Amino acid sequence: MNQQSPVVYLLDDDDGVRGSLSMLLSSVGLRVQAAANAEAFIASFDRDAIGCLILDIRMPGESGLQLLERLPTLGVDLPVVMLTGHGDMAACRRAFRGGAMEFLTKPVDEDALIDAVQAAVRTHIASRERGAVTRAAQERLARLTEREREVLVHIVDGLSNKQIARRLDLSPRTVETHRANLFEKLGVDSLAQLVRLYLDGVRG
Amino acid sequence: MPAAMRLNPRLFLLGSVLAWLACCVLFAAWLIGNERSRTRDDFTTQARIAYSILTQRAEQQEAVLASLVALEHAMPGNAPVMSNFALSIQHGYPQLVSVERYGREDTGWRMFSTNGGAAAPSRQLDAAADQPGGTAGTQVAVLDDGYRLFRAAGHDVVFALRVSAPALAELAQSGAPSFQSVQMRTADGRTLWRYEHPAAWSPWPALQLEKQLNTRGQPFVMTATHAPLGAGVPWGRLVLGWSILGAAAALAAWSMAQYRSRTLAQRQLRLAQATRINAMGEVAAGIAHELNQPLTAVLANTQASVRWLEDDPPDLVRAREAASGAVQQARRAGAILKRLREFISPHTGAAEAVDLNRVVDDALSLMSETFRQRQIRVVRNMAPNLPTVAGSAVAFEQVIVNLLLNAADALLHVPAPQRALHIDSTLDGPQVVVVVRDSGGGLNAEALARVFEPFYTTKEGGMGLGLTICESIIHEAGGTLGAANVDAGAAFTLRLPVGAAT
Repeated sequence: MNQQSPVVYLLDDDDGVRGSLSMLLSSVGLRVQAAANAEAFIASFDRDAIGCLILDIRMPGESGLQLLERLPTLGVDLPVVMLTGHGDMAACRRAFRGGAMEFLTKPVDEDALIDAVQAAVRTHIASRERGAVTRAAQERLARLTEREREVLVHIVDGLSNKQIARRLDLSPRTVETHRANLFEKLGVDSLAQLVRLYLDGVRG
Repeated sequence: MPAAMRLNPRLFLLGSVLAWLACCVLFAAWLIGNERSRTRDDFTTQARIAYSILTQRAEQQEAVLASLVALEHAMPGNAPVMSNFALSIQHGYPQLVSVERYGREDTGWRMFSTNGGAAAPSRQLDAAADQPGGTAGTQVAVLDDGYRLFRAAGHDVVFALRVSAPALAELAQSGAPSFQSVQMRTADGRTLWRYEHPAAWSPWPALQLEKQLNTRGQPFVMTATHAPLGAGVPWGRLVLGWSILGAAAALAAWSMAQYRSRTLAQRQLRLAQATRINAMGEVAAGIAHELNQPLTAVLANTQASVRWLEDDPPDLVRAREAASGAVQQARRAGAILKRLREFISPHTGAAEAVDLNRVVDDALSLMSETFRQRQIRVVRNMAPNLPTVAGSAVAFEQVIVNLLLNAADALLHVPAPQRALHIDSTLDGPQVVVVVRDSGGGLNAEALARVFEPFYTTKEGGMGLGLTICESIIHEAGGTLGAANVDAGAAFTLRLPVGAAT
C-alpha cells in the first residue's frame, strides 16, 4: 500500500475487537492504523493522510465521546465513525452533535462498517478538495489592495459604480478604474466568475 | 403486616403498659371483692355462732333465776340450802360472778352473795320487787364490768345474778376471734357491755350484724362488727397475681417480639432475594455488555476469514489467522457466560474450602464493567498463597460484590481523577482479612454507627439491606465485617477464620 491510499484509524481498547476489525478492514484492501488509546492514536496520526477514524465510545480514561469533541483542537479533520456496545440514544445524539458521521452498534456487520468507512473517506476527500479550491481563491484575493477589496465587496452586493462611488466617497471614474484593476488581478472575465471566486474564498 | 405493626412503637409500648396496668387493677378488684364476700360469709357464720351462744347463756340465766325463785317458794328462808344451791350454780356457769339473794328487812335489803362484792342499790331492788314474777319480771342493771339481773320471789325477796361482761365477750368470740367489736345492749338502748379491737383504717364500711336475743326475759340486742377484709388487703396474693400478670405480659411481649422478628427475618429474606436478583440483573446487564466485545470480534474475524478465502488465490495464512482469532474470542465469550452462571447458581449450603483471593478476583471481574464506566482506578494488593476459609464461595462473592458496589457508588461523589478503590487481602493470625477501601469521602458518624442496621441507607432508593445481609453471611461463616473511616474514604474489613471444607 502506498501513502496515497486512504488510511482507516481504528481506536478501541479491546484487543480482540481491535485485532478482528483491523483484519476485516484490511481484507477489503483498506490500510488500517489501530490504536488502543487516544495518546497512541494522536501520536500515529498523519495530518496529510486521507481517511477516517473509527472510534469506540466506551474506553477507560478519556471516553470516545470526549475525544470526539476534542478532535478539532488537535487538528484532526478526519470524519468519525462511532462504535458502541448498545444503542444509547443520549450517546448517539451527543456523537452526532460532536460531528460524528456515522453511529454503529456492536457487533457490527462488515457491509455496514465498510460502507460507513467508504462514505467517510469520500467525505474527507471532498472536504479536502473544497479546501484546496478555497485556498486558491484566497491566494488570488490576497493580491488586491484594501480599496479594491472594498469595491469588490460592493460589486458582489450588486451595487452600481455610481452607488459605490457615493458610498466610498469617490468619483465614479475612480471606482471604474478599481473595477478594471481587480478584474484583471483576479483573472476573471465576467461578473459571474468574480462572484464565484469571491464565494470560494470566503467559504474557508 | 397487622395494623399494630405500623403503630408508633412508643405509643404501642405505652398502650401495652396501660393495658397491663388495667389488668392488674381488675385483678386487684376481683381479688378484693372475692376476699370481701368470703369475709362476709365467714363473719355471718361467726356472728350467728356468737348470737347462739349469747342466747343460750341468757336462757341459762333465766332458768337459774326461775330455779332460785322456785326454791325460795319451796323452802322460804332456808339459808343453807339456798347458799349451797347458789354456789353450785355459780360454779356451773362461768359467766356468773355471783349469785345473790336479797331479803327485805326493817332496816333495808340484806344481801347474801356467793362472791361478796357491793350490794345492789335498794332503789333497784325495790323496783325489782314490784315486778311481777316469771320471765317478764327480769330486770337489768348495768355495772362497770357487766350487768345484774334481778328477779323477785314475792314482795320481800329478790334474786340477782351478776353477769361478767368479759366472760360473755369471751364466750361470744370463742368461734370468731376476728370481730372488730362486739356489744350487747338492752332493748331500750342501754349498753350492757362492749368490746372493741383496734382496727386498721379501711376505705370500706365495716361488716355488721345486729340481732335481738331470742329470750323472753332478756331481749338484749347483740351487735357484732367485722373489718371488711378479714385479713386486710391480701397483699401476698395481690403481689403474686401481679407478678403472674407481669410475667404473662412479658411472655406476650416476648412472643410478639419473636413473631415480629420472625416476620422481619422473613421479609429480610425475601428482600435479600430481591436484592440478589437486582444485583444479578445489574451484573447480567454488565456481562451482556461485556459479551458484545468477543461477539464483535468473532463476527469481524469470521467475515475477514471468509474474504481472505474468497480471494483469488485464497490467502490461507491470513484466513487461518482470522479464524483462530474467532476461536479465541468465542472462548472468551464462553468464559464470561460461565462466570455469569456461577454467579447465578444457588449456593449449596455445605461449607467448601474457599480461596478468598479467587473470590475477590471473580468479584472484580464481575464489577470490571462498572469500574470502567465510572473511571474508577482499582488497586489490588493480594497476599499470595493465603489459606482457605470455610463457607460458600458464591455467598462470599456476593458480599465482596456488594462492598465493591457500595464503594463504586461512594466514588461517584468525588471527581474522576480521585476515584480509587483499594482491595487488599492479608493473613492475620488465624484469620484471612480482606479490606475494601475507597476514596469516596467516608461515612458520617451516624452512618458509621448504623451502617449494618437493617433498612438503614444513605443511598437514594436504596433498601438498606445490602450490608446487613453481607454481615449475616459473614457471621454465619464465623467471621466479622467491620466499617471504619480511613484517609479520604470508608474501609470495610472482612475477617474470616482459616478453615477447610466441612
